[in-house]
Amino acid sequence: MNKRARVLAAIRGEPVDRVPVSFWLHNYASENSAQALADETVRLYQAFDWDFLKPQSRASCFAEMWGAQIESSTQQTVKPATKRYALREARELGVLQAVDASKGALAEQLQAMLAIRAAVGSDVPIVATIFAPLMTATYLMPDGRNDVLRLLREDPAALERGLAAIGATLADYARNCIAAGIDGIFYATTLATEPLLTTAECRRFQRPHDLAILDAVASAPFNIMHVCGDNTRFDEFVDYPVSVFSWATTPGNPSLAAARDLTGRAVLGGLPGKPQIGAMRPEALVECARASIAETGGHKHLLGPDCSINPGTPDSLLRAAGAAVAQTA
Amino acid sequence: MTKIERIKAALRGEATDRLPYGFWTHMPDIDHDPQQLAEVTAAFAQRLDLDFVKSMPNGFYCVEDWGCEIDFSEIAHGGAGKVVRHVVNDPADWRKLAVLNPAQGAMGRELRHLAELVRRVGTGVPVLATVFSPLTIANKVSNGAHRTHLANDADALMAGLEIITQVTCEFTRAAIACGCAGVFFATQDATHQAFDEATYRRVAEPFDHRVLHAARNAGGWFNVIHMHGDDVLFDVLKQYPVDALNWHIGETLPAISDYRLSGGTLPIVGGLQRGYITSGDLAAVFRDIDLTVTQAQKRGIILAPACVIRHPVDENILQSIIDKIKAL
Repeated sequence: MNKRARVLAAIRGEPVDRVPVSFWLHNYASENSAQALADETVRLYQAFDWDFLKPQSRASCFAEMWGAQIESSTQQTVKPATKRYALREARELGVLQAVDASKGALAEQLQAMLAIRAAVGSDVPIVATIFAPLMTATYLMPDGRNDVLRLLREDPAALERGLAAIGATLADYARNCIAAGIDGIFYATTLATEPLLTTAECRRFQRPHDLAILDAVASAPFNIMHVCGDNTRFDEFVDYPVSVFSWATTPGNPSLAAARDLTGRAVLGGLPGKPQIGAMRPEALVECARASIAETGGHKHLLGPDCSINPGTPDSLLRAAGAAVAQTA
Repeated sequence: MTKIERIKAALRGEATDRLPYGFWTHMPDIDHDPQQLAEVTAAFAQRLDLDFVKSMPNGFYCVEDWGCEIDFSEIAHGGAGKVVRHVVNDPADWRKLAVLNPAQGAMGRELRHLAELVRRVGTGVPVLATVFSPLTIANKVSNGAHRTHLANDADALMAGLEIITQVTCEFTRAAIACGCAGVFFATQDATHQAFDEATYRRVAEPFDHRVLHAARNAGGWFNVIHMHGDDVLFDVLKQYPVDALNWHIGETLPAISDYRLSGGTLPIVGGLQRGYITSGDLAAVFRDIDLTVTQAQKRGIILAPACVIRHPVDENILQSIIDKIKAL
C-alpha cells in the first residue's frame, strides 16, 4: 500500500497493511518562511517516512493576517516573542473585518505546503493546520484567552461579529488549500473544555463558525477535527463533517475506541503529546503504540500524538514509534 | 404518569404505570398539506391516546428539493407516489447536488408540518420527526444507481453523501428546534442483501452518526433507529447513538430475547407485526403483545408496529389493541 491508499483506507475503515503514523512538532527556527517550513517538513519526512504530513505552521500566522507581528525565533525550541498584537483590547473584535486570505502569512503557509507537495510527491497526504476562529481570536491581543472569555460574557454580539470576520477569512484559506491540492485541514480548537466554555457557549461561539469553515471544505477526504485539552466538550463535536477526530486521551476525554464507535469516524491518536512524550523512553512509547493498536484493533485508527510533540523531540523516540507500527503489520 | 414521564421511564429501562405505545400510518391524501396533515395526525393521536406521535410526512419530502420529479397520480387510486425522474444518473451528478436550505421547498413544508403538529398535540406528547438515512436518500435520488457508482466511482458517491448529510443534519436541527422530541431515523438500505457489513460501515455509518448526533446535540432525547426490511445489519445498527431501536420484530431476526441475552440494553420501540394489524387478526396481534411483554419483561419497551401500518387503517382494530395494552 502506498501512503495515500493506507491513510484513506484507515479513514474508511478498510483493511490496512499497517496503521498509518505521523507526528507534528514545531521547530521555531524553521517556520519563519515558506521555504524554511517546507525544508523542515521535508527533512522530517525523509528522516521518519511518516504516512501523512501536518506542516507545523507558526501559531501566529492567523493573527498576522490582522497585523500581529512576531520577533522570529532563531532557536529550535524557543518560542518567538510577539512584537505587536493585532488588537489592543477585545472590544475591537466587534469591528474586525475579513481580510484577503490569498495574501500575507496564509499565502506563505500555502506556498510552503505546495513546496512540500513538490518534494514528497502526490503519494503523501498533507493537511493544512487551521485554528478555529475562537482560538484565533485569543492570538489577537495580549491577554488573549482571558480577554476573549471576558468579551464572550460581557458583549457576546461583538465577539460573534469578530468570529464571523475571522471565520470568513479562514474559510477562504481552507478553500484555497483544498483547491491547490492539499488533502484536508487539521482544524483545531483549544477552548472547548469544561473549565472554559459551557455547552451553550460552545454551541454559540464554536459550532456555527466551525461549521462554516468545515462545510466549505467538506468534499476534502482528510479533514481532522482536533479538540485540544483535558476535559473537553467532545460531545459537542461528534456530528462535525470531518473524517477523523483527534484529541488527547487524557482524563475527562473518551478513549480511542469509544470515540470511534461514538462518531463512526476514524481516530488519530494513541501516543502522548507534549510535554509527556519528551520525557519518555523509546520502549515506553512503543508500548503506548502497541496498546492503542490493541485497543482499536487497528480499525479506523491513525497513530499519532494527542497534540503536537515537544520541539526537539529526540530522533530515537520518533523512530521507535515508527518501528512499533511496522511490527504490527 | 404523564405520557412524557412514561416514555422517559421506558427509555431509562424503568417500570411504567402501563406500557407506552404508539401507532402510525400513511396519510397519502393529505400529506402535501402541512396544516391538514398536522390536524389529522394530532386528532388521530388524541383519539387513540398515543404516548408518542411519529410524524407521517410524504416519504419523498427528502428528495423533491434536489429536483426529483414525482408522479403522485396513483394515490387517488390507492397507489403510491413514484419518482419518474431521478437527478443522479451518472457518478458526476453526485457532485452537482445542491446544498439545500431545508427551510424551503418540500423540506420547508415538512418543517411547517412538524411545528404545527407539535403545537397541536401540545408539549405533553413527544413528537418524532421522520428523517431518512443519507444512504437511503442517495438510493432514492439515484434509483438505486448508488450501488453501481460505489463500485465505479466511490469518491463521487461519497461527495454526494456528504452534501446529503449536511442538508439532512440541518433539517434535523431545525426539526428539533420546532419542538420535536427526537427523530425516527429510517434506514432502508441497511440489509445484508444491499450491502455487506464492512461496506455499510464505510458508506453509511459515518454519515448516519452525524445526523443522529445532530439530533442529540440539538436537544433530541427520543431518537429511534428504524431498521427497515428483512435481514438487517443489526450488529451495526444496534450500536448507533440512539435512545431506542425499532426493527421488524417477528418478521426478521433477532428476537427481543436474543437481543437482550446478547447483552443489548437499548430500549425497543416495536413488537407488533403490522400485517396482523392490517388483516385485523387480533388474536395474532395479542400473541405478539404477550410475547413482546414476556421477552422484554415489561422494561425498556414501547409497543408499536415494526413499520408503518398500511393505509387505510381500521381504528376499531387499533382501539382493541390499545384496550389490551392498557389492561396488561
